[in-house]
Amino acid sequence: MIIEAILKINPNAKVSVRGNDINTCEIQWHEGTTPIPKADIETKMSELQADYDAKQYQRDRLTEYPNHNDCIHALLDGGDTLTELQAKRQATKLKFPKP
Amino acid sequence: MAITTLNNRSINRSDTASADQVWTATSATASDFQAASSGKLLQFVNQEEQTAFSTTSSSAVDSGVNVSITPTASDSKILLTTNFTARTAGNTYSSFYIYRQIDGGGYSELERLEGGWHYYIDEDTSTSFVGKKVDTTHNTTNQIDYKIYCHVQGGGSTLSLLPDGTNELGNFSAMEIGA
Repeated sequence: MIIEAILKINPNAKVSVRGNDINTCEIQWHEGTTPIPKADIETKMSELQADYDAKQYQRDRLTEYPNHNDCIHALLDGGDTLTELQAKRQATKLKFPKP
Repeated sequence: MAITTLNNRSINRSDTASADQVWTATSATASDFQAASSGKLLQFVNQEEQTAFSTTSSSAVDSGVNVSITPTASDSKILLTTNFTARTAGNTYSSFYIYRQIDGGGYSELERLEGGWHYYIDEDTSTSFVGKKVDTTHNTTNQIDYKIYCHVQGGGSTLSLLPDGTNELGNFSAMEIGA
């Protein structure tokens, strides 16, 4: 997450990070990369975490959506099979609503 | 009566040998009982690592995975093995190296690890990286420090070792083997 946040701020950053805690990690900047203050990195990490949390419903839906094979068969078969599949998808969406 | 010359090395000790010792030349003119160490494991040092490391550097940088050993003989071999999980972002090619420092004299590249050249790691999968090298050129009985260096080779952005930190365990082992 730390290095992801750094790359969101500077996509071309050449950097190494030891540790997963922003407060205790060691950050080394390479190849002339301008250092980014830890406070700025922490702010970006919070934004990324918020974005990740906001998309939880997408990950939840993926666990219950019909799989690709079922979708292909339903599209090819049409009729009741396709109707049932669409009902399953709609039920999943209702179970995990978009915030 | 024939005169047989055994060799030109003087026998300079009269005590008995210990278990597993052999009589051997210790110089051009002397001999002694010595440990029969050829090919045998003389010592083993294992260093565990659980600190996550990530880099976007395109030149080799210290990963923090390290091990130190002080050889008992300057002509021994040091077998180095390492294993740790690795992951990349964006299907990144990566390279791994062993760097060596003798007696605190500064690190330099010893060799690229097998499998470390253009090592391709899928972005969604943590891969167990295993490397092995034999150091036959240390020529010292002073402390040797070894480190794993690595860098992004191309293709993507980030290489991560032990990405989940304390939930994972990496090892870097040094084994001294008799010459």
